[in-house]
Amino acid sequence: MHGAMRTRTMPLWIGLSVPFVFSLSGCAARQKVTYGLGDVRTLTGGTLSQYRLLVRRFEDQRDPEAISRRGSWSEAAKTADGNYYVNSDNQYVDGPVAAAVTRMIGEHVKASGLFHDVLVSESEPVQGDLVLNGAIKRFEAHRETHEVQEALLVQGGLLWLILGTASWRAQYDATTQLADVKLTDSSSSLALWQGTAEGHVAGQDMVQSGGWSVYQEANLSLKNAVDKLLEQLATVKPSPFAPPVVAKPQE
Amino acid sequence: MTARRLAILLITVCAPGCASFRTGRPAPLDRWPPPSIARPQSIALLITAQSTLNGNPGEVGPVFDHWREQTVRAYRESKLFSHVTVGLGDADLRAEVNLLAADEMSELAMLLMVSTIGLFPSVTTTRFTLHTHFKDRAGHDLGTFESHEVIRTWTELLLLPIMPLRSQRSAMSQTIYDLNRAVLTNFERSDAARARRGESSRADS
Repeated sequence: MHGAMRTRTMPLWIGLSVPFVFSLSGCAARQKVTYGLGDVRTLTGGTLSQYRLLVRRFEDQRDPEAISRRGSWSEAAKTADGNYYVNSDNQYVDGPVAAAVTRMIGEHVKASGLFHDVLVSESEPVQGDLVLNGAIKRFEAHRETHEVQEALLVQGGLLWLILGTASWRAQYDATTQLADVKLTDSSSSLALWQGTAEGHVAGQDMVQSGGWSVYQEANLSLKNAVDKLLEQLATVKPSPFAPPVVAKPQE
Repeated sequence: MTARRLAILLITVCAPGCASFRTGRPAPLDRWPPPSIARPQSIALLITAQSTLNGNPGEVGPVFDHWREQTVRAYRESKLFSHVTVGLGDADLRAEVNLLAADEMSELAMLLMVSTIGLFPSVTTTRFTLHTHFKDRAGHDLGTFESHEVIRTWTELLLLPIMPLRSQRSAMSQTIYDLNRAVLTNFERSDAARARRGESSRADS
């Protein structure tokens, strides 16, 4: 009786514990293009603060190899030589990468307060709107793989954990390149600004199994790129043809 | 009942906690706020912050709002400016304030602290560097000033009772306020600021 009970309940326990363990280890392909906006620099009160900005979807001009990469349920994708983990499109859950990156650019620009309002939309601009579009040339992160050390860490044990924490290091770097970025006045179709913005982060930290932090590192490089884009947009003078959408407050 | 109270007291006293201590404070200010000036000008602040952990870049997060408040507070309380705004608004002066919080900690010590529930202590050293660049309305350089301070945050057993008195948040707030005060005092004494006020630096010296 006792033995039969154990046999029946065992698959249940395994069934319950396996998803729990996987959800803890972050193995599920649930990555998003997102980052915190709590520390975004305030750029309110500038010459563009009376305009509404329409952000068009940035064109995906990444390397075809980068677009076609596929990661598995247990680890991030790897480069062809197996030396690096990289972020891959199939593990993002918030739609096509270009759309997700564009949405995040819009949210970041909005949080800065540089414009009166920011919309990520394909709708027709009204008079006074400014339009931002561009292309994503690169949005990727690389992290060194260390197969033996990762296997030992997964196996568990205090010795490996102490060794790993004390001395096993993996280098990483991430880059986002936004090219052909153009701020246009919809009234006159005049380009007010055109340029590029590149964000880069690099460092080294503890070896990790699965290389999942490449997604966070790619996001951080995007944040860096948008910061640089905003720095440049903050210097733009509005077109004399573009009537502001918001009346200037009386002095 | 007494035994239960004793147990609660013992758990509270012996539980792990963390406490922050300021070290390497900037030199004490002679006078705060600085001597009032005849024709104060308005200033717009562009405030940015960066954070690193053992040299690796990270995000500052929502605490940035608090750091920004402390910076604005120092500029307002200095009474050196007629109006203080944050952003790109029209102003006589512009200050680009950049705060770097560089955290250093031993991951091994942190692992030992966590696995022994605080028996082994762990310390995080945060080095704050405040870099401020002043410009006039036309964008001319009025000087760059820097100040530094270090905060050490200890995490171990027995620190829970003093946590409210030594919280990391209040130590950081006071540090950022003091770093800005040091920068403003140096700016107020600088030749560029005196020249703008029509004072002669030679006459004072």
